[in-house]
Amino acid sequence: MKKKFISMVMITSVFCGILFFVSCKKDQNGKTITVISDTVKLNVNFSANSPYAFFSFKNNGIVNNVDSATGKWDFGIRLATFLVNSNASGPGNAGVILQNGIFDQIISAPATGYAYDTTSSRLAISDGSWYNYDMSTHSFIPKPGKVFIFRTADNHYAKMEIMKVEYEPFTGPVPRALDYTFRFVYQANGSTDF
Amino acid sequence: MKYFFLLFIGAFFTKTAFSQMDSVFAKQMDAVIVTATRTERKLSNVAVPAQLINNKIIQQSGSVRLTDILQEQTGLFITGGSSSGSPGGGIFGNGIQIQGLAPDYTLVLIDGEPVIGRQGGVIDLSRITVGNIKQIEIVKGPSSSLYGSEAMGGVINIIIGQPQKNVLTTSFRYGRFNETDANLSLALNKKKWGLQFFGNRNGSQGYDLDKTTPGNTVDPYHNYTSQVKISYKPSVKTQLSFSTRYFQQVQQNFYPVSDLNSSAIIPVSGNSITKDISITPVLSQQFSKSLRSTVKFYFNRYQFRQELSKQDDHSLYYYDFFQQSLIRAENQTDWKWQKNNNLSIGGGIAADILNTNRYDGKKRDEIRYLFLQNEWKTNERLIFIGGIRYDDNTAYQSKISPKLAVSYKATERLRVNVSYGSGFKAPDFRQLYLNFSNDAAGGYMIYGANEITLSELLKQQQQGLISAILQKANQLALLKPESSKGFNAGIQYRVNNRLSISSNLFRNDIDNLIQYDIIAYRGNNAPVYSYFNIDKAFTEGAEASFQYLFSKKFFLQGGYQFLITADKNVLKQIKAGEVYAREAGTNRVYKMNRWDYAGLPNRSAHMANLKLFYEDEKRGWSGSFRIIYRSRWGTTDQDGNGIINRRDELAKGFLSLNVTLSKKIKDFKIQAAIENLLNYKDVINLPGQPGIQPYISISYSFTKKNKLHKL
Repeated sequence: MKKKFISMVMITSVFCGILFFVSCKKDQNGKTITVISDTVKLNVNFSANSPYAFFSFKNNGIVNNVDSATGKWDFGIRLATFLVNSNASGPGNAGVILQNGIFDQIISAPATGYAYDTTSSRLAISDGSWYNYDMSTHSFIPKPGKVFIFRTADNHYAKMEIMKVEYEPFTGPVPRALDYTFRFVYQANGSTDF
Repeated sequence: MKYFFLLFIGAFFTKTAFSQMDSVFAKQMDAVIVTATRTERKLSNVAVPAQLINNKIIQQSGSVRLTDILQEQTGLFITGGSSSGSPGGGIFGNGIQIQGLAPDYTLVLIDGEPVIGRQGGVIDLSRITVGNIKQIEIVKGPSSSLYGSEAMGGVINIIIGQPQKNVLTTSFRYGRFNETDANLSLALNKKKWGLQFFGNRNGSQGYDLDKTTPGNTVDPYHNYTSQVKISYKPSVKTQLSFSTRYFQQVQQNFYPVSDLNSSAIIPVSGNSITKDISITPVLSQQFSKSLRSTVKFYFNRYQFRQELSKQDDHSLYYYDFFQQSLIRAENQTDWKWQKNNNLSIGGGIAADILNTNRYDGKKRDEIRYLFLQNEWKTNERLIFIGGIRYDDNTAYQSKISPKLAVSYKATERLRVNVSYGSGFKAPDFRQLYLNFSNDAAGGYMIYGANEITLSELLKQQQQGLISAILQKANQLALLKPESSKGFNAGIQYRVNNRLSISSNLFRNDIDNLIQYDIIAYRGNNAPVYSYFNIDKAFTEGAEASFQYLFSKKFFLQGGYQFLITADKNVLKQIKAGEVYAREAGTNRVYKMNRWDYAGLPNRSAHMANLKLFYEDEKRGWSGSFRIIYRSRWGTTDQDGNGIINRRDELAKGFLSLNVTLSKKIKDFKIQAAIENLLNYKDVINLPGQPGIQPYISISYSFTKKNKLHKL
């Protein structure tokens, strides 16, 4: 619609560190596990012509769009489309499993079975797999019980759950952005345990 | 035929027939219904759950549209849409739910011929006036063995009377929102000829329940219905009739929209015009005492056209055109081939032609069918009815629909009925012919099942339009009709000459429900959908009703239905622990159990009604007081699991009280009434319910008595 406008747009991402933990606990074997656990609000462009919002679990933060071709990010979102830093989308070794279950009850990540962005039109997370679109309210409602288990770009593991997707307040007919609220647990020590 | 006349006189105009209320009651029990077997049978003798609403009840209830009267019947629910577009609310109008099956699965007939023009699967029943009808016949459970497609949840047959006297009736009604309803009907009989004319005008200025949202809840509308029926009986054995019906409605639409480019708010306005015309010539010949044959032709054309333009520059904003035509020839022959055996055999050919800007080009489906039904009275007590029908057509797979019913008269007062049969519904036009790409919302595509093939997908893949074809695409084929198997078991018990009760248990297993699924991905990663026979569901429940004449002046009717419904795939997933829900507010996710699942949307577990009718023939007073209850029902999913489970996904149950009072003075009758006395409103879930609605009506009836009167 307005290309000039879009090219100038920087991804404005808002972080609300509602909860932020770096916790240490011991698993059954007495080994220390270091995890980052947080709930994040991510501002995501609505227009299919705008840049993606890229996120890094390790840094618990947004990755600047100029680094889109690097392994610094783990996943990206635009509208309701997910990119995973792999094959067609980036140089990273990321992958994802969209698993049914309750977030707190998933205590470890599987060793295999991670999906990649095979091509730009065959992405790891297929459209509509994690949300329901309500035609009357135009809302994107995350399906309950869908947990994203990520292998990150640098081979660590994280679990993530989208809790809600809201429209950034807007006037006029076309919304500019969506606010995604998600929570995640990132295992910093490289193990598959959360 | 004797019963037919008796009922007619009982239900229509004759004063003497009502002097003995007991006999009225007896007549109700002996009333004749044609829909259950396609032949005239006493209501108390049919083997399937059936219900009859006569003209008297309709008048005393003050009903003017078909929706008014149907919503007060046990187990029936009028479903409304979600926004403006039709009288009574609802973009697709008001349909009827029977035994928990959606309006798509109910066949609506006028004098035995199907009403067409479904929008979003729904025939808007407020299109149909009840100003000139003799009775409404309702048969519950599948009847596709007699009627073919759509007769899955039930059949509603509106019987237009053939008055046997010369009578002129006119009436006018005025109510809230400037609602008006005017009728003129004239019946003339002379020797072998009969003429019936009926005209109706109905209109309303509409209303707006929510001032904070743009536009009206219901836009202003007015409509006209005219009916002419000419009958000719050259001999006792031959009967000819010719009837036409014409309906036209204009609705003035007006609402603001926001302009995509400038963000300005621009009003759009225009008209929605609905036209419905039908012509039915019928020839019936009684060859002998045991053989009768009827040939019917039927032409029906339904047309909907909406044109909206922007008020600033008068440019076209929206245009929709939909025209459906049905041409049909049918024969039915009834042959009493043995003393205890009645055979009905019939068949027909039909063309269903669609012309619309919604799909690509003109669509035509040719239908051929044959049906056969035998009624075997083994003795005075036991009746077996077996029927089968074969429907063949060009647009979807053919279908065989059998049915078996047994009726056992245990005592003079008690009858037990059991029936099992199948029903089906043809895939709708969208499922067959849609060819839609939504380039605004992500560029997905939906193809009707007849619009795409695997080889077409492969071709598109070679052209680079399709990036991947999924396994599901291998299953692309002619759709099967959605089908059901229905079981009904019930009793009718006549306690005494004043009280009768009946109850029925039902179960409908619905299979091959059509749902879309992804068949491929486009070059831009957007999915391509088509339609498949995927889902399974069931509805089951119990129904009980009674009629009680507790004095010569008071007549009480009541009923209750309990209903359970579910999507079988959802139940399977819940059982496997694969379904989750999200708590409102806390966003906590938990695994759902069976009892968190509230079943199919728009179904109430409990529905009840209690109706008191009063008539004092001597003093000319009559009236009614009716209580209708519906418990909460599922609306839309809020927590993303696609099913109804949370309290905020349910609409509140409600009670509606309606009262009428009439006084007859000579040939005039004045009626005052209040609908929805409690002023119940639910802006979101019941847009067709505007709140309290008082009205007043006056009618005049002039009868010229003739010999038939003394029958």
